[in-house]
Amino acid sequence: MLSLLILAVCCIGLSFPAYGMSSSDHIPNVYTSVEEFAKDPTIDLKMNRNEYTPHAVYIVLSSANEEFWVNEESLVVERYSSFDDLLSCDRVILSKEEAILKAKIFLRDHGCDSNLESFTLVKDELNNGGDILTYDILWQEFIGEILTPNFTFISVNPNTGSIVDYIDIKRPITVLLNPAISKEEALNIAVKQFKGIEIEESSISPRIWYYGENLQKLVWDCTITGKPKDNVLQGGNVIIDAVTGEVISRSRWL
Amino acid sequence: MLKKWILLLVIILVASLILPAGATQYNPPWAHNYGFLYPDGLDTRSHALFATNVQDLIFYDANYASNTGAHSAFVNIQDDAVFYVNGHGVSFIDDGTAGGGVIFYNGTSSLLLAQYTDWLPPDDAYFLSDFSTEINDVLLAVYVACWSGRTCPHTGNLVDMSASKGIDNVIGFKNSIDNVTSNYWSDRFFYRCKEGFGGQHQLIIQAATYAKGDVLLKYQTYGGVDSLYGKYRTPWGYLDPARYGVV
Repeated sequence: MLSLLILAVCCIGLSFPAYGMSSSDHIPNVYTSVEEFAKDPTIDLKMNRNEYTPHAVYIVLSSANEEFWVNEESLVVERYSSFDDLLSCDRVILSKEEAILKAKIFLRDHGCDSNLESFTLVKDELNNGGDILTYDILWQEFIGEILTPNFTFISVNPNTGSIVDYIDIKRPITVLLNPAISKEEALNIAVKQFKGIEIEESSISPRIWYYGENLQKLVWDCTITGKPKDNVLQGGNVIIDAVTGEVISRSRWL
Repeated sequence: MLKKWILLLVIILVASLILPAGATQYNPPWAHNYGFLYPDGLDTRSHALFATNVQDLIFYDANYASNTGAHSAFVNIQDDAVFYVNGHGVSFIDDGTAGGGVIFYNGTSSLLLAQYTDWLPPDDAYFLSDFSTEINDVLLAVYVACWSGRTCPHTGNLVDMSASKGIDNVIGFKNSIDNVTSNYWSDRFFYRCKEGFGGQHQLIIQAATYAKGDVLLKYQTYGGVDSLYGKYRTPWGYLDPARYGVV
């Protein structure tokens, strides 16, 4: 009888959900991450929503006019947006060099500048968006010729030097970096996706691509541009699996 | 009695000269969203539908128009509060220039262009420059098309022309854009307009700009949407409450 009772208690205990690190236990750490990032333990934060990308699930918190995207797994703030700072992006006071310095200081102050040692500066320009002007600065990671998903992006207000938008992605690489399909083979596959076009320009480069939830692939990223036909630009972009030659994605120029 | 009728007629004639022509303001305000399935396989219809659904949720009388000709758009925009089109832009093989228009398709092609300069289009074409005050109460126009924010010597600049005709907020793109990233930008833009900041709306100017970051975060590339070019009325406004723009 006692053994039956013990058995029953064990079965009941196993049927209850495990009380380990539940999502509710996670939440105080999310707030702490943002408080540390913002360097303000008193910042008034509200949890808004989740955002889903192929490489991460984000918990999004907001303050009065800022937003923080916290990687659900690592608890790192990987995106920061300052909405009110966008509204004074209407004139250029800073030079590009000053803007880059502002960006680097921001990264240093938030402990995010270690990536820059291995990343390549690929874009540093004044973006004329009409009524909105920003210095857009982008560092990307290359392993040899291969573009990885990792990058650091900062948009700087050219009027005040404040940071308007910040994104920082650093993921481990989980795929082998040896393509089985050559560049030339991949380009031929890409060209066949746009039948009948007269090619003006093409480019192809290897990259690591997220094709599903946390799933990386080594791919060839091909851009084909053809002469306009009936005033319509021909071509687009083709993503080809560098191991199987399968066309994973195709987009067209609008 | 006759004098009274003559006086009334004079008043009516004078009023018709003074008051702005044409546009009707409906309640709820109208919105039209154009998407197409082109012969080359490009399909933008679902994103026009998404825009329509968001606008409906914030109480516009939003219409989804798939495979419609440019003439309908030219007529409807005069009564629209919101105008959205997602389709091919215009480029020229002879001199490599591009911009100033969107190609509509309903079995045949037709064009909505900024202005006529030196190019006589082979298809039906309609020019924003022909408007005087008819579109000065449009709150928002979004042109998701290659070069819709670029000035072309043959066709002008859709964004600049729209703004000069009184449209409060106008968004286009200065470069070529690919349909995957631009469609994602489009969906994120309307999402942000409705509830992008803590479940609350964002200013149109903010929604447009931060949707670019959404594209970069998801795809690690812009696909051309970083060439976004916009003109926004100050004080900056939201897409809701549903309303017409400032005349």
